[in-house]
Amino acid sequence: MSTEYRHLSKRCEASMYTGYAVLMTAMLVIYLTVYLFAGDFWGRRAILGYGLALLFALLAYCLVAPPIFYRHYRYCLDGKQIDITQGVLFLRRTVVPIERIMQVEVVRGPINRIWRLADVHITTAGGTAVLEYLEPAEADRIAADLGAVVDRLLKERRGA
Amino acid sequence: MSDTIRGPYRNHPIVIVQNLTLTAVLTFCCLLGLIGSVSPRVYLYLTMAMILIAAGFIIMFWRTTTIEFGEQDFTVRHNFISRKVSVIPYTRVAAVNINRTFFDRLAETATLQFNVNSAVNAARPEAAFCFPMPLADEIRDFVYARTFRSASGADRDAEHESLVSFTPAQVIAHVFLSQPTSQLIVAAFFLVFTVAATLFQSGGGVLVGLVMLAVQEIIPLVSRLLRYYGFRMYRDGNTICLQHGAIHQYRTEFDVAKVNAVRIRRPFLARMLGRSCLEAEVVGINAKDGDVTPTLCLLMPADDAEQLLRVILPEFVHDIPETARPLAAVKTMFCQAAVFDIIFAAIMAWPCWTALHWTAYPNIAAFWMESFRLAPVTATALILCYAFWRSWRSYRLRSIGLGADLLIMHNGLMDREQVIIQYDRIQLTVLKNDLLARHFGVCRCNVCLLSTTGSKQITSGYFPQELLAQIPAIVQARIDDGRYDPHENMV
Repeated sequence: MSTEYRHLSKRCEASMYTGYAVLMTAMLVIYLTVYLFAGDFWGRRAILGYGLALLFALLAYCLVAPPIFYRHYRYCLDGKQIDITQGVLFLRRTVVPIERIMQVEVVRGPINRIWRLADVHITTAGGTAVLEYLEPAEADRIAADLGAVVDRLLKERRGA
Repeated sequence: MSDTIRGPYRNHPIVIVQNLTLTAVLTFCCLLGLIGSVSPRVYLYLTMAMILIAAGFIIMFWRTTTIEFGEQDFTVRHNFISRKVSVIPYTRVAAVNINRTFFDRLAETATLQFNVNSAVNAARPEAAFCFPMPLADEIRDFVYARTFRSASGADRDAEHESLVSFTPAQVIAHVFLSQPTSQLIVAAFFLVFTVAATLFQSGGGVLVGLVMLAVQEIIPLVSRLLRYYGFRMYRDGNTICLQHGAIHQYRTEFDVAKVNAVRIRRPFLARMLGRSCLEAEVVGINAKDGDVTPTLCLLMPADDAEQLLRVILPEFVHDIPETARPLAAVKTMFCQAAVFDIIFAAIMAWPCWTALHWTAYPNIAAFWMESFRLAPVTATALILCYAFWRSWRSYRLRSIGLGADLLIMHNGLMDREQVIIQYDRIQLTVLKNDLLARHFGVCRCNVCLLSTTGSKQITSGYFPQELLAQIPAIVQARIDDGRYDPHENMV
């Protein structure tokens, strides 16, 4: 564990693009289903127009978001707390004292598996913080390190 | 330590009667839809058959569910369809509450609810067992003796005078005035809708209005009135005990150490009358039936509520200077309001344009037709103005105070609240800002706590980033320098 901020692998952009492609396909299918099968209803043209505008806005976001997300994302584990900064339009800085961690979990979703990436879910009693798009080895190392620290803290408490 | 209460114990048989009655009522209601399509005799046989099957399950479940009390822990065994053994150490027990349902009162029993400190089970008890009253009191004292907590048994209620007393009229005032303003507005809408439907002699409209009014306002009001009737509250050592209820009697007690935050609520109407009520975010009490945040006292004059807080929870009394929002916050919010207005106006342009070009209907009076035409434009204009009004009010009202042990946040526009949070209970902190907030150097802060219903986020308004960044820093500093006691704050 070090006090330096770390950045993600470039593959995170590919994983995000893949996820967004799946999302856009699903949205397009829903839109086309409404367009083709909903029949004539009041305000059809306007509602379809709004839907199309929304689709284009979403598409623009999906194209632009991954590089910005990659540029913004950084995390730091200094042995006392976990500090994660992430976001595209809204930047979120999440700070979790290691003292509060109850569970650490490495999660590999289907898209992340394709791109050989993994997430680390850090659960506290008040919510969960997620370290996203990590190299699997890095994710395992972080989970092991945090697990060891939590274990040590619990032993210290029992001993006290 | 004596080990006389070992067990295993089963639930009192009144539980079978209670579950069977509820099942019978539910079955009867669910099968009502069949009445037109089958003969009454078939309907009766079908209902009886389903109740008999349910009775078999209920009795088997009762027979195979036991609880046993050891020296260090208690064990709950379910051995009906699947086998489940839960061993719960007494050290994990946050509270043992007594609930007395209508059936409990019939059979002179009490339902003991064992609540543990867990985010997963925060909203429901880990185990609930029904015992005869004397045994229930004995068991609770037995468990509390092992949790090293001051036991404040039901038999000692008479020794303690309630710190507050409320007449039935005050309880009615509380249930009406303490509801969120948004709920009041929706109820008022349905009231106006019902009156209008009555005036225009629309039978369907009256029915819909009445049903919605009942669901939205009247039933919750009556339910809360029955819940808070006869409200009593006292502190015995480190235990706070709440008692209330007209039909179903609630008795909730919790250790002061389990209180994560205190909320002084001032809903709009109550604020107009200078009243406020106290609520607590407590871990490990059973928060079902919508009682997500235990009410420490019903609405009372604001000064009296503050005095009461000094008596029941001096740990949360503070004298922390508060910081008002900077000018950068209002600039950020005005810019956000402008962006919102542009997007909203673009979306509403078509509906407004369409409405303005509605053709007149021959059977609708000209006045009403003109009103219908202008309604979307008026509503849009009001919402556009509201965005700016909201920003300005929020700027004026919200403040934050960072003390050594406590964090104070003033939130809300119409329904205001002051939240007093212990740093040591903050689980994680999120500082967030958007492009505009970043430009003006401000951000908002979410602090996440373990609450009665699991995790809860409390969000501040916009303040300078350097100020809000102090919150996680203080939390960490308290851990580093030993002010944070893991045993005291263990969840």
